[in-house]
Amino acid sequence: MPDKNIRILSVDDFSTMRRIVKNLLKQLGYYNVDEAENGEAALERLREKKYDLVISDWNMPVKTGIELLREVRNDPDLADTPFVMVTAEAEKENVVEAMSAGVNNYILKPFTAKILEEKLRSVFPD
Amino acid sequence: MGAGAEIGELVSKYTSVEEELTSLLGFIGDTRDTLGGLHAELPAATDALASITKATEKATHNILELVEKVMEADDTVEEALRKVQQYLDTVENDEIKEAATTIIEAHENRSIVMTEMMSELSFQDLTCQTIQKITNTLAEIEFRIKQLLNPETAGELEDLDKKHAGSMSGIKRLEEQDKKAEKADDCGQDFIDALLNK
Repeated sequence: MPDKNIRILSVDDFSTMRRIVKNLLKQLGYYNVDEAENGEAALERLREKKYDLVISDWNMPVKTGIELLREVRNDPDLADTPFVMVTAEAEKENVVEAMSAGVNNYILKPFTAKILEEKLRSVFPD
Repeated sequence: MGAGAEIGELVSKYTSVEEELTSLLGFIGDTRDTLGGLHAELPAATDALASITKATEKATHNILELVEKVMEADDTVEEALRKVQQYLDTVENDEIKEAATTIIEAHENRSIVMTEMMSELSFQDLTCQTIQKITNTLAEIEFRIKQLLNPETAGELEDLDKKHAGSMSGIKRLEEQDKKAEKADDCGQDFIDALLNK
């Protein structure tokens, strides 16, 4: 079972998607999940308290997932935060862009709980 | 050619040009009327799409609530079943043992199904992202028509972005997406995994 103290930030402009991700994470044993509706709101949250993982959509208003990722990596206080992109953007160009920006993993929508669990294991191997 | 004939030819050419210009003006006028009609219908189309997004969002939340309730109830059942499983080996009656095992397995399968159901509801996110792209495209078409009909009052594309900040901030991105779509190269999760693990 995962460490109960692990804190995750789920970022998506669709409330239904945030709810689904939160529930799936709960099924996997991750109970500390906060939400943000876009990249800008996510940054505010990240600067308020420490998160062990960010799970973010790509296409969002105000600030996109890739913009959020770049800002996180450029902020010395946040740079080491594991970041997983969860998106419908399936173009190789986008994947490469995310990798260049320092993403830890990249999950295509739609995804199953099993895939989410596998990818989280790469971030939390213990 | 005498002066009279030259003048006659010039008048003829002028008349021909005038007729052509008149015809063009008529065509432009008809086109403006057609575009004006389309322009009037576009907001209704955008509204209809927005209402689809709202309706699917509401329905998805309702279904999620029901799934969550079932999962909560399942948590209670799971706790009870764990206790049953602890004492299963001490039960002598084979029928009871078998029944208890069946219940435990059925519960595990049900949990899996509930989790899958949850994942499937992400269709709403994908559907609405597509609708959003269509809405952005319609907004741009509306803007372009407005530019043609009333260039003085149309404003700038950047202003449209600001006016619809959030949902419309992708209008410029839309242009980039069009360019990208020409050389679209989608990949699957396996390819991405291979790329990341390289």
